[in-house]
Amino acid sequence: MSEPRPIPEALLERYLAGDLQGEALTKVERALADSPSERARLEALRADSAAFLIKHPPGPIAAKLEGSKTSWRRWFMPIFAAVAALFLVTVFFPRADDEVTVKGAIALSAFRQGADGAVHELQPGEVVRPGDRLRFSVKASEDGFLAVLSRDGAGHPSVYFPFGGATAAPHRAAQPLLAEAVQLDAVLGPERVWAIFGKTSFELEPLVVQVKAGEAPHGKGLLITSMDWVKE
Amino acid sequence: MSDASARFNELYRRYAPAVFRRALSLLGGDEASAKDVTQDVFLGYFRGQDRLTGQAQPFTVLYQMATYQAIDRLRRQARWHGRMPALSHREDDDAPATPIPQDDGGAGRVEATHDLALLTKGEDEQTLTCAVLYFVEGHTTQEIAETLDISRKTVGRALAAFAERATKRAERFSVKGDA
Repeated sequence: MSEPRPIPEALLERYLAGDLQGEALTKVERALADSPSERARLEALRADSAAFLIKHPPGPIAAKLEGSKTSWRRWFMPIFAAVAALFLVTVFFPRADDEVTVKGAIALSAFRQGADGAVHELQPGEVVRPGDRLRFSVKASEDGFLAVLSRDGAGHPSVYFPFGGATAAPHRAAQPLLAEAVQLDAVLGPERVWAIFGKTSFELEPLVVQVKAGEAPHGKGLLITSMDWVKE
Repeated sequence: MSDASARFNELYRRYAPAVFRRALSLLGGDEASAKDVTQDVFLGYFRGQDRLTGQAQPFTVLYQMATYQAIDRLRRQARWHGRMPALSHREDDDAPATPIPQDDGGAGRVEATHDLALLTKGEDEQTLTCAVLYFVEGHTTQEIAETLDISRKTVGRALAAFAERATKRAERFSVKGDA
């Protein structure tokens, strides 16, 4: 008779964390009851956990997390956004070119600044990383009002421009590069972004509801285009 | 202490040791790197927590993040060894992959992990974690399903699709290595 397979390390860890449920929990408990060596493995993990927490308590990381939240809020303050826009337009990002947009259509581009500071234009389907900073450019044939919405890998909608806004923001055809930048969060997976342009101002809530429901945003008199990327 | 701080402390105390050990194991005992991975995983988890769907258990999310980030670090310095067993998998097959020989003090497993790091570039967290657990660490698809709280069918499908992609990548690495 062959020896039973040892409890996989990850399952034992999950059991120790108290996250295991159902049939898997029953199997692990049975294996622990039947095997002194498995119980010894569990106790060794428990002791190692206690030692780890003495050596690496949560305080320093919690402080970093709190600090990063403060930075995050600062990032979106209007004054900071305006200064950042001027700086980034001047230093990092390409100038708006003279490309003519066909009347009745809009064009969306996104520029990524990675952790190493390098900036390049995102291609559809490209891989991005949590923490990357993005700026959008929307070319329209005339002045109007603009919003940029997204649906992330978890199906959650966001208003990227105007960030957190309730109505579309004025948009000048002569200045396609948007003033605000966004920093990508840690939600992984495919993400779709829509640029939505109207000749007159429009409310964002109905569009957010559509995105949340898994639909593409739509509305009378709106010009819409989209692009996708994958966050890994 | 705020509610957020209390929640962070609770989750850290409960899961950080496992996250650290996971990273340490994949990074060949490099404690400094494993500590960095642990920190990055928790910061990433909490920064994106508002957007988590709430369906996945914290352990499965954190474990996959730790695996992904540790392999990502390995990939930066990995070179091709050609130590992976045959990369094939049928969706309905629950037998573990061909085991990597353990009679060399673990060197073969380290090299296979490096190979897999190269082969999983561009894969999502779940697929990458399934691939490591199956092809390097010798788990069955049932064990992987129980670890990650997903169905066996999902594991089998992910592995079969990955194996097909990775076989082509492995051929390219082998050609480069032979040249």
